[in-house]
Amino acid sequence: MRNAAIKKIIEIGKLNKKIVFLSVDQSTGNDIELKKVLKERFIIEPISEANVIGMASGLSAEGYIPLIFNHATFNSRRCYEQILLDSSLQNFPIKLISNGAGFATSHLGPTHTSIDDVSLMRQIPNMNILVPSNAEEVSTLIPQVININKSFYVRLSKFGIPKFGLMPEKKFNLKSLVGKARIIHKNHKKLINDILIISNGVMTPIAIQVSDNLKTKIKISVLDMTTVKPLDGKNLISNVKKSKNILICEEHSIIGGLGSACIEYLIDKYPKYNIKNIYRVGVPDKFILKHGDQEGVLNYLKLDARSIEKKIFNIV
Amino acid sequence: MSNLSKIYNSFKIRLDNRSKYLRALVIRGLKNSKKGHIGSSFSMIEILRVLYDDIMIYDPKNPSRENRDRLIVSQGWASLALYSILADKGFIKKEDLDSFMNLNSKLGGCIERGVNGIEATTGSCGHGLPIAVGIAKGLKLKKSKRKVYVILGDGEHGEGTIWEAAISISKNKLDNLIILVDNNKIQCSGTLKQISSLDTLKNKWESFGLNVKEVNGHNIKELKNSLKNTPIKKEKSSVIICHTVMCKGIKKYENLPDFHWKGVFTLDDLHYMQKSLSEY
Repeated sequence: MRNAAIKKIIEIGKLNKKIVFLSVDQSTGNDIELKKVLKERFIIEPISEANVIGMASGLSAEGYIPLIFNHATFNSRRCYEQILLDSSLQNFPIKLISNGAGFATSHLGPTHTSIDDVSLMRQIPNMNILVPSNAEEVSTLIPQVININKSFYVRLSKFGIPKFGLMPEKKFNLKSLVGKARIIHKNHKKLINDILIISNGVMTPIAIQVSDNLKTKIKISVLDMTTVKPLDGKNLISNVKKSKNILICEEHSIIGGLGSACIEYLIDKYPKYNIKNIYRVGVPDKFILKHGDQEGVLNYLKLDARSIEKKIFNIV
Repeated sequence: MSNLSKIYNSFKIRLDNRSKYLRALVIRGLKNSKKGHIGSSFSMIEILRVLYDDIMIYDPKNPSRENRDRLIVSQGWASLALYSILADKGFIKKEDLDSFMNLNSKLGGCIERGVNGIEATTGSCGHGLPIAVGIAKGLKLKKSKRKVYVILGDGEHGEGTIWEAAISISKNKLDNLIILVDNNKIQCSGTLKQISSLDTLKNKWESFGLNVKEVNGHNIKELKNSLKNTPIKKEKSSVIICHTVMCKGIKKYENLPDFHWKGVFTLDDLHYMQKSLSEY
């Protein structure tokens, strides 16, 4: 996903002279090309996350489009107050391109695991939050992130093509738009779903695999909610109305992320819906003191396809 | 002149009519709020006065015009001082000061963007300098000749962002960035020396590769001369440490940490402040 984002930024940077790329001493994978294209607008700053967000806000005040490239943990909780006060409060839009999110670097342990970033960013007025699920989607979203004059938090995981789960099939509408959710998989032709899985990021390919695996047994649709904020509430409600049960899957703390966003929206805007029919899986409210790779940690947390299938059998 | 004599001189210097008038505007705001961060509001008046009277390029009728110098007052809690000079220069009306800290007033207890002439919201310590770094970098990218002035509180130097920014300023060779330190040596709960062991700001800034000059922060001539000669060296940012007196102009309140912020001013207090100022 990182490579797709950087490739797109290089492509756009050739024409858009307002882009300033701030790397906080992180490996972009293509510093040489970024430097060649952006010239003095490619800046590697010292390890100083809080200063960099303030600096980006100042660049934004001068009319530039700052893209801050950093590891997700350091691009969210490390500099939270700066994002809130220097950028958002003052309406100085910045674009946080946050690499290695979720458990993408789980081998490094809890210091590098970002499972609270979506929750933190949701608290910030004027912030848009994107959690794409593959490199193709990243390529589609980056131009929108640059062109829309608002702040964005873009949560990137590790792999361009998901290492686990399934890629979406071409027959579904795959054009990803900021602020729009989309049905990315449906394993039946009926109107009503037994289960509507709502997911984003690395959980989307897993959800597609679950839906595919259970196609002869349980009627499932997968709603890919790439934009967590602003939430596509209209699409959420129209799909919820067509579903007996909802299962929200996220590679994030169950506090404050996608599940919270959907449930809060439904309580506010569709209070008639029976809340008993909503289920969710995510990271429990505790430190995950595990190492190993992303897949291993997801298995441990029962966020793998097989565990989710078991959960669905218990629901229906 | 030694450091110590600069500090001594900042104590004994008298205030001329213009400095008293600007302080009277601060008191005008306090009459409404009956509370405020008066310590630094009174200590940085001359710094603001010289910047607006003699140094900066700006247009109150078109506050966001491109060809302007930018000022970020990082010690945003001293908002009343900045609002007073903005009222004096016509960015806002003097009557606006009478609504200071009211529910629907634009003028709050900390500096907020949205008021004419304000570049950035500040008030949480250590935020103004990084924003100024970005603005200075932006002006460099635009090849603009305009400068960015930042006023820092001295207690604020405890924040890590100040020193993160210091590294970035040197690295980016931002000689269009001028830092003024309102070095009144008092912070919220005691002296700078007691609380932060910070009595050698000069050496600290120099060690990050910036050029430092020390002045009496209430001496108009000294401030003017120093600011007119910035950057001190090409490709290097300048720091002007302004030795000031907290609550300068209000005799009984000077240098008392209790007057960094005061939650209640009685009418008697306000009358005393006016009297003390007129006799200063």
